[in-house]
Amino acid sequence: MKPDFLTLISQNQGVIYKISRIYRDSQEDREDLFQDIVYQLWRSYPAFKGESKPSTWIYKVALSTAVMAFRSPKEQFRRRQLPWETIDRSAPSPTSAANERTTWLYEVIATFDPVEKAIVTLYLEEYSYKEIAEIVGITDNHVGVKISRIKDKLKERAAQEGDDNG
Amino acid sequence: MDDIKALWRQGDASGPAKTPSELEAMVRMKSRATFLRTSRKLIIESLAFGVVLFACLTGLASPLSQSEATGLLIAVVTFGIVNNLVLLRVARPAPPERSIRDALTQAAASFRTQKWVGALFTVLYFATLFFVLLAHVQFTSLKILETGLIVAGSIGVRLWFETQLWNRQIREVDSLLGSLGAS
Repeated sequence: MKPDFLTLISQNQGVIYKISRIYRDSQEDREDLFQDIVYQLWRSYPAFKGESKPSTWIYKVALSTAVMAFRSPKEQFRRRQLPWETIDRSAPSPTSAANERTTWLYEVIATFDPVEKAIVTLYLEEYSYKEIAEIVGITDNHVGVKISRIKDKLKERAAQEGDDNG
Repeated sequence: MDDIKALWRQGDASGPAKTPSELEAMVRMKSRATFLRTSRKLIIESLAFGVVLFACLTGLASPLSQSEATGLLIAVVTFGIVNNLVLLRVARPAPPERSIRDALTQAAASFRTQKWVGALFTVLYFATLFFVLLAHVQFTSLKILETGLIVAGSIGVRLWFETQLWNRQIREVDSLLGSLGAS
């Protein structure tokens, strides 16, 4: 296996963890998605010509894999049997106020539909509307509309959070 | 939104860092698992479906000679393998580096094709068996009716299950395409 591929993935694995975290509820499912994404990156690597930044290529493949990862009916049934307690969006790191806020953000994003999750991820990673449009496959204007709605949702949830806390 | 972006950046190290050798082992394991799953599906489905159906139909039509039975079994299994190979060809996913819309569009088309190809093969499969048996075995009218009903029932049950499975997948992908809106 090419060492440059492994180094590239090793350096950018935080991106893959973030995507796994917002697209899957349990630790087990996140690990599965992480593996799927790395495998798809490996499949796609020969076609990567370096025309875009490596991180852009990783986001493109990872988001596409996460959105397209349809579960088999058997797995969907198994997941319906899972108790709510197994749903865990927190990162495995020490608890702190900042960490709680990060967990809150991930919980809010997790309620979005898969396409909104992809758009908000790219937006928060400072991608331009043009780049987001290319990765998602919609027009720049449509990206603008979607991001505006997503911002409204985030503000609404932040306001609710503020009300709940006091 | 700046505070949200700052929060987002804090989520970077949200999993145990894997070394290059661990990543390599993961890719190799996933690749092997994918290959094994596809092969298993191809072989087990083809064999199981063929053998069960063969057993049911020969049970009804007892006077099959050894060579007829062998020929029928080979035909049934071959048919199952061809069916699964066609479905695997149709089910090939879009290259992962394409846009999300392209991947979804290809998945929607692929699911629809798989649904119809699957249905076509199911009908052809049962119909062929029915006519092969009819041509080689001395059936009474009652036996023909009985076999015909079993064949029709089997087609119906299998088509119903397959259609439900594909419709669920198609609805899911259509809903995602709908959320992307017009291009």
